[in-house]
Amino acid sequence: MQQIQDFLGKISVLIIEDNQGDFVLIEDYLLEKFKHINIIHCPDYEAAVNYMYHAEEKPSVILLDLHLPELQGLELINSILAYSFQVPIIILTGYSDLALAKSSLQIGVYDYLIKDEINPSILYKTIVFAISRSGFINQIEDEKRNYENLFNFNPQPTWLLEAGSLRILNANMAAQNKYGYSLDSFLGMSFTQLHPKEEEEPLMHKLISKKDKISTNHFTHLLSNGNEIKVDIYFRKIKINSKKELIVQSNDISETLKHINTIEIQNAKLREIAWTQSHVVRAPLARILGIINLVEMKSVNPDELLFCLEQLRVSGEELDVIIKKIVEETSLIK
Amino acid sequence: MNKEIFIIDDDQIYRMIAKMMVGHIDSSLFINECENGKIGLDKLESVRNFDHKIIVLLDINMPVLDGWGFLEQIEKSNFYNLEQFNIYLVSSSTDEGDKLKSKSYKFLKGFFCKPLTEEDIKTIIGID
Repeated sequence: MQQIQDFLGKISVLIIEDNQGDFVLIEDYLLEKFKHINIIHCPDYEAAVNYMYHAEEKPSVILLDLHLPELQGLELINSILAYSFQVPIIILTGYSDLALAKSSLQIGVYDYLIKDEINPSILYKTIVFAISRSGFINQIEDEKRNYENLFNFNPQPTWLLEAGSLRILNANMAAQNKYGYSLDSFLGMSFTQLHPKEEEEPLMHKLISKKDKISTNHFTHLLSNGNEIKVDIYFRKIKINSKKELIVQSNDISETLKHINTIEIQNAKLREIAWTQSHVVRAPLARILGIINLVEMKSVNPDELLFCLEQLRVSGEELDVIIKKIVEETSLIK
Repeated sequence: MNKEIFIIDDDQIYRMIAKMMVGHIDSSLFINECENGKIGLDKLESVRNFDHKIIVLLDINMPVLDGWGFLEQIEKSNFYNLEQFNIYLVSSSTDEGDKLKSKSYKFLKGFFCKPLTEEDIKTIIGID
């Protein structure tokens, strides 16, 4: 309680009440319990809506009498709630409207107070609880919105699937843009429909059976225009309202694969050049070295030396041609 | 005992150089030049029944029938178990793969990389 009191600090209360007597009583109670309080009084519906629209700072809580001159009961509650001011509403009612007050809790009213039973403590407690509860609810709503944004604006195509059937429950904007399906068309589909027939089984294996760790990430996805892309698929099991669902993301690796393929072809070509050339180059080179071996023999005669010299030239020129060809072939590879 | 040497290689210049070197080391040796494995096999067939020492210097990369093809034929025709046959692979390639492959032919007497030195030839024809 201490904590909540600190948290409240200064509060402002809008009292919508046409009965001056009732208002004064409530005002007294409030002033008795709250040190720092700003009380606004609107005697009818129109004034209240007008105030809410123009107030720079919204009140912390609204106390609403169920019998106003223009509007009463359920109609009044619905009219106020329709504005969704995001301010907790506490109904002030008599015994005659008790049933209505109770059922209004289900449509968004925070609490109700029976006028004849109100005392400063009950009023205080009801207001403090309503404000702190609305704080929690707003926090949850904010987080929900944040998560929705994280999902919707994630640049990676992302889907929400029903765990067992792989029926698509939601698809973010990236998925809609990348795959060319509207959210509505996605909602009528199963995730398996994005895959070619032969991938259905491995996909089920990955997303449904528990062997996902050993199965592949690589899949093919079909876009609405008939194009195919290669993707990596990642997923997580999540629980929403105790239903099992899957968050699935796809990562387009078509370009990467294309690059890898190009590099591999290039490597093979380079290996081939290196291999053949090392053999082709070595032939005249070995011959040149062989000629030198012959020249170095003591018994070699002048005619043979002349032959050797000529052959050195032939082999040298052959080597030159080969090396030029290697340079040409290598420059063809980009 | 007489010796005869077969140089099976498509490189004419290499054959001439090898021939000259062999001639300088042992001028009594009879030298046969063969342009490819097929010609080599045919010529060897004609000396099959001789009992003198036959030395074969076999290149690997050749047209028509290459060194490996030649060795297969030799294996098939049971040439290799004739004692007077001494086959050496002589290749310009320094490829380890070729060397490893040559190990599967147990009857091969050796593997040399070109160029052959004077010492190589002396080892091959058996002069120390």
